Amino acid sequence: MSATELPLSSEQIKANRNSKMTFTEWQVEDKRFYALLAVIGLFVLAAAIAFFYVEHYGHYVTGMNNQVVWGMPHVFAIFLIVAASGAANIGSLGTVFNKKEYQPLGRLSLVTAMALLLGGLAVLVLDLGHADRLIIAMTYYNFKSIFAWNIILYNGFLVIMAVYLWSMMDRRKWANEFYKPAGYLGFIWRFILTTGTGSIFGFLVARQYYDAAILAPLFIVASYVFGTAVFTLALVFLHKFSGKELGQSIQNRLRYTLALFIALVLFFELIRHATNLYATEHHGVEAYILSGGDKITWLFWVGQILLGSLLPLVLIWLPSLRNSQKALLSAAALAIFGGFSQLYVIIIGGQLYPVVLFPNATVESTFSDGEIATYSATLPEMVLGVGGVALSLLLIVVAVKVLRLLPERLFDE
Amino acid sequence: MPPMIHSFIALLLAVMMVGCDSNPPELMAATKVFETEQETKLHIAEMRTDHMHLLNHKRDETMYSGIRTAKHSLNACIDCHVPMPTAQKVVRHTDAEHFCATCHIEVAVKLDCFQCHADRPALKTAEVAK
Amino acid sequence: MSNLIDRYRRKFLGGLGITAGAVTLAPGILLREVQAKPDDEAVTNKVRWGMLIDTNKLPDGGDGMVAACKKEHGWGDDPHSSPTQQSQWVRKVTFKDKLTKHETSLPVMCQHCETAPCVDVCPTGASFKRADGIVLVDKHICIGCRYCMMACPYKARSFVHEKLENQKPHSPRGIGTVESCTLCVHKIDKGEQPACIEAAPPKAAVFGDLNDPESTISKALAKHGAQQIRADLGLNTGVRYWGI
Repeated sequence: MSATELPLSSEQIKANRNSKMTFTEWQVEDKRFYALLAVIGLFVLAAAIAFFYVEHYGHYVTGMNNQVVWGMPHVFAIFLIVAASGAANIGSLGTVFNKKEYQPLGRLSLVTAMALLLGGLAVLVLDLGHADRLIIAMTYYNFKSIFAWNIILYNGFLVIMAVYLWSMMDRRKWANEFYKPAGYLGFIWRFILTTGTGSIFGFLVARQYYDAAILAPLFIVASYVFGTAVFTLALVFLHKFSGKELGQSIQNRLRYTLALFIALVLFFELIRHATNLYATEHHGVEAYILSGGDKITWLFWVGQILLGSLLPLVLIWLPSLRNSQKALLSAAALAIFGGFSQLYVIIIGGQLYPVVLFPNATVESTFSDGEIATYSATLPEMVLGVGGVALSLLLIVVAVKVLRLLPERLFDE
Repeated sequence: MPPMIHSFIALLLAVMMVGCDSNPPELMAATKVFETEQETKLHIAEMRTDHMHLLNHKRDETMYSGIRTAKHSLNACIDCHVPMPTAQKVVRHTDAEHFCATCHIEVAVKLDCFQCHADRPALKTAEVAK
Repeated sequence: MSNLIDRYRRKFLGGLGITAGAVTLAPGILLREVQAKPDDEAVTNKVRWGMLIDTNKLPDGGDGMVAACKKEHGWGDDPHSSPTQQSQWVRKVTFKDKLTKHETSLPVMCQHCETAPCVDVCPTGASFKRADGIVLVDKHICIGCRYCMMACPYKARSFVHEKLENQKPHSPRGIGTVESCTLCVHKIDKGEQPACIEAAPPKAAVFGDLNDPESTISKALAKHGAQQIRADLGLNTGVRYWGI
């Protein structure tokens, strides 16, 4: 409490202590806000046009084909969905682990998580061959399919996060009683959700690069990297754009969370590739990914490992860059780039390598058997993917503008 | 309720009732004719109200159980209601005179059967049409 | 050693080819064996349809069978799709053993697995196995997510990338849905054989009921066995081969 503030009565002080913190809407000039909204809105609009374009002509206008059936939209969609789970981590840290420092950020964390999930789902759904049949996806369930489970997990995540957020925001006592249970449920749900997303690939026996249980935990640790990075950028942006001060201690906490999980992702990747390299059956696909020489190899070594993992770690841990916001922001941005590279390598790279029908033979056919497939995203796919990101941002900025999500003060005591 | 809403609802109802009363548009004639007029009337009445229900039911029977009787089969409907393509003319589901399209255009209900299904009778028609 | 085994294997398989000739019946007789069920009767799991292909008896490696399928179902010439986007319900695959350099060609289509990965992963249940073992896509509830294409170890499925016209009345296929070999279910239900079997050279391919121990295919399988592609996956395929 600074000395310049008016003296408070003991009751007011008590009330203040009980509510612990006060929240406010995003205090940004209308003109700036609507300008921002318009810019983001343009990207969303472009994505809508891209969707109708593909919907009208069919998927032949995309780079996807019968060898690479999931393309750039899926890279964006899965990034956003995985990041959603990680973005809610800040909320979990406050509730489940009772870390007081994170509690002021709980609301923003949950809203970011919901926005990212909705953005990702929008991309995923709009890329379907029959997006008009969404109702069928919601009414016909094959419970042996991890995809069907994911539909339930994603919808459940939105509901749980909404209840969790409400329990944080409603001042009535009985609403508060939901706070802890919702927090714990959300924490567990996040694990299951990311496990489910990783298992989309983990449960695929057909392709050499998938079919591994480690993909689920890999996606979980990756979710912390993506989510923390996106949350950091959003938090700093929201403060800078409205000219508000952001404390150093919270930034340092985000910095170390990011570093810890980048290191964990590297560890899981190391184990995954080492296991593959040990089994002769996987030598072919590993050789292709790690040393094949085309853009997948570059994305893996330069995109994911060098720029997306090692450089952020240096930026975070270099003593001379301690307390540098620029270094943190660069690290977060690079981690996001690394995340996209990682997902591109897993999703696209895993499909570019041919399905193995006859293991000890060289294979050829008129259907790309035995050869590395080709894929390059076309404009509509890129625009749709970027539009998903824009939709997430749009939801975040509208939410912070109309709801009291941001703590009044986030600078160091 | 404010009076404006009352009048709006009244107008809506009126429009709907006029819609119900109006006769369906002129449809192209079927190639086969029932033996009695009563059969024809029954067929028309049943199909006007229930054709999608019957088609959907039949669709699942065929898809999952391999039941391929002509009754309520989409191909059988098409064979009778849509003319054979000729070298000069092919009636497609995008043409207003197509048996299904005539009504569906009138009531603005989208048809997606023909994204996959043939919209004209069997025969060596596909080759003729090309 | 492995060379020896392979030589032995080839000899053995060659022998099979001859015996296979003896056990394979003329199509006319087969037709009576694949009995038409009444139109209004539902299929049951008493029957499991399957086929056996003798690659040694396919001088064209299966090209003729592929062409017959294409003609029957009308895939492969969608006007806008790029070559890699074209559907391919069945394709000729040629493989050459890395050590022995022995080359084999065979037609590869949906293997109609007993425990099909595509059926497992489909979120809506559009990818399903009919009671008589035929794996199909119910395009009415297919949302076009392509997860089944990711899951199929045989890469047997294709996605339709554009609006189509002039489909065959007996073989609906359309934009935004996934498709694959139907084992010519429309013909089987009429008591006929799949188009590829009809087009195969004499004695090269047999179609029939795997559950009926008296059927030609069951007898041939019981006597001589047969190979599955990717047998390691344990999918118990309905399509079996000789000579791979």
